[in-house]
Amino acid sequence: VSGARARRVLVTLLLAGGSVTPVACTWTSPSSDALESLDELPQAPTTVVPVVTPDGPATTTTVSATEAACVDGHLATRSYRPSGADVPPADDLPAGSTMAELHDAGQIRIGVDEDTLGLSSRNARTGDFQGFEVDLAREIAARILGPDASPGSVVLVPVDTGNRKVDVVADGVVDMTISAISMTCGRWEDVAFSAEYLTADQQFLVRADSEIDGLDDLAGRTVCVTAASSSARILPTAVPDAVAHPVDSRTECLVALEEGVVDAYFGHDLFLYGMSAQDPTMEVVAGLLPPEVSASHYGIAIAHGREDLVRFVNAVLEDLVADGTWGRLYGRLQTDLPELPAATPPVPAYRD
Amino acid sequence: MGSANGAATEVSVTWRTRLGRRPLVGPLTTPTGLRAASAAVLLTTVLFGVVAVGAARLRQDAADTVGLDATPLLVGAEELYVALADADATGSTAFLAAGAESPALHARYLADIDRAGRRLVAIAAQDGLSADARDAVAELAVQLPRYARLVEAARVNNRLEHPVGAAYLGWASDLMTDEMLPAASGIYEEAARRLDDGYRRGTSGAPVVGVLVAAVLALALLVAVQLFVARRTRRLLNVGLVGATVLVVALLGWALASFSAQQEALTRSERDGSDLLLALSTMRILALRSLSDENLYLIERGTAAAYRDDFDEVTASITGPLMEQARSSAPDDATRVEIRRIEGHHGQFVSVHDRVRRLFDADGDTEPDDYVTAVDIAVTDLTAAATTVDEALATEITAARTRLDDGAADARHGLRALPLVLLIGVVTATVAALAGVQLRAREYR
Repeated sequence: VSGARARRVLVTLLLAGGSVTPVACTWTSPSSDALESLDELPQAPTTVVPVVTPDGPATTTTVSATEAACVDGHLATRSYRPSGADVPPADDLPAGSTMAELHDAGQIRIGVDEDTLGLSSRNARTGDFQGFEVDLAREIAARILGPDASPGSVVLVPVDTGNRKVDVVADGVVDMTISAISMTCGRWEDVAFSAEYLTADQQFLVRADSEIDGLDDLAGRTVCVTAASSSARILPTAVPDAVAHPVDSRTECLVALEEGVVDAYFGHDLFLYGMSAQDPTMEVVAGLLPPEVSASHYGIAIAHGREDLVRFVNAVLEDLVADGTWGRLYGRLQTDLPELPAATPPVPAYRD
Repeated sequence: MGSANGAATEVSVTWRTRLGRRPLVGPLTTPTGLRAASAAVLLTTVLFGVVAVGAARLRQDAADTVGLDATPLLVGAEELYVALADADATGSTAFLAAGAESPALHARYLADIDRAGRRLVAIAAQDGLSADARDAVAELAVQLPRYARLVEAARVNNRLEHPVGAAYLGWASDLMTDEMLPAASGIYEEAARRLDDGYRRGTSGAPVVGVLVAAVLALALLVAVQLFVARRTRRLLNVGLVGATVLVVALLGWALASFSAQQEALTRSERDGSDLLLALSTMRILALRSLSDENLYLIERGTAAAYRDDFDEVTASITGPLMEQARSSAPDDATRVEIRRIEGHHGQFVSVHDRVRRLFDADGDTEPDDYVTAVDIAVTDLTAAATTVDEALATEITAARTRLDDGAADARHGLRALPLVLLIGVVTATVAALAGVQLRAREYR
């Protein structure tokens, strides 16, 4: 009977609907492979990290994750040194370089976050991306494409939090990702990083009336973290009695807090101030963890094999700090996030 | 002496009978035979009546399942699914469009939520829902207000230009796609199964065969009793038995005609209504899904290939097997014209989509500024084309449902009188047959 066939077709199609794997950012969250991703993360901080011989306890030292040398012998926060003192102008980029290639193509694809107020968010009314990282992306793109490039030549691609923001670089979907990526040894295995452009500190966001003031108060509480983030990695060690609640995007943690699903959000202060700016009933609890545990160093992720682009971006970063652009952008960030303390530009560190 | 003689005569009669002259008599005296005949006639005619009424009940029940039970549930579930999926698609369109909230889009969202609520209540009021379907309804009743609340939180935050608005919308969409739509499609699938089951039971030949067997049994016995009576009493015809035989034959004819008419009506309902209804409502659900796919692909700036692939897959299903199914199950030329029109509207939708895809495809050579144009086309022309497809499908779904209902109603009404007729007929036939036999039996007192 043809009716029975139609029904089978329908049932198959409807059921197949569940198999569309959303890979999206805020809009849809993928069925979380959070735990799996967590396993891929680099070593926990303040653990014993082998420096020379992986199995030799005698040669190990206790250091914070970001200070530990990676397998390649370099610190995760050290990038490739700029080639020359000056940044070559957009119309005179070294022939055959990645920059020249991008310049000729007339388009750069840059991964950014779309829901982190202050750093990078998509304005719901205008649909435009805005924030410190977006400004930085446009500054770097302008140095490659030239000042006359059309606004649309910088394609901002919203990338998920978690490992995807690194994977899209490794897979060549985007040319670079500027999205609050903490430089770690594990991520260096997939991509290269620019020099540090911003430093964050891991803190807690709670409801102002929650009476959570210290780590002890978090015992038995549910704490929101973004899956596969450094926060997700640090939380079990820092607050073993807290129940982690991993989600796919940072702002989901604010929703979870507002909805009463979680008691606190553990994340970078830069995100937290963006959330308390959106909801004044939320409060940032700072200074609960020692800085060597909680400090996160942001780098721009660029594919391995594009070392020339890394060096170029580092030259641009130095330039932006020197000409005061960095300070101006940070000032704008402070306008967006009134509680954000003042900061000085990170000092670049190189491995060569 | 006399008695011994009589016994010897009777024995010899019996033996002659055994030898084949009177095969139907057996070692019986005539009065005993007549009593046995009365009992057998009573049994078989009543058996015929019971089997026939039972068969009528079975067929009636199946037709009721189709007309009163499965179809309203199927259409209700389809409308519920469409309302929910449309609310979600409206959300993704609004997100993609950004800018000030479009009053038209918001009104459509509100209408979707109202429609979903009404459908849900109608489904809950249906009899005979399975435990799974009840659970699905209860889950949807809990989640619909939750979904609406999350969307409202998103709206308020969007107005304040807070990025958390998008996260609320994401939560709402996750709730819809992960929990609500599967629950709704679960109800739809149950309805489709019940419809299938109703058609299968309603056109199954087993009850008719049962009626035929019972009737043949009753008729054979009536004829046998008549032969017995005729030979024993030397009367050619017994009015009661002949009347009963004629009545059973007439009842059998009536029952077979009724079953055949009912089966024809139900087959017509399935062929002209149900097949088309299922093809069209599946198309409607998938067309909405393809619109959401397109929106999400653009929202993700082409980085989520799953949405592009899903669009292509879903569209291939619509233009291929489903359209073919719709064409082949169209009952008349007018409907075929309407289906060609739907095909045209959908072709228009796909060609607008092709424009969007040409402007923006992550794998192709895309001019950067084209993204903005692509989004613009998606939120205007593409959405309008999708609405046209949806409305055309909705109209034809209603028409198909009317044909389905008409056929199912004919099937139900065709059997309505049968049980009563059978009851009266069988009682009359039994009484006539017994009276006929009794008349002869009295002569032996």
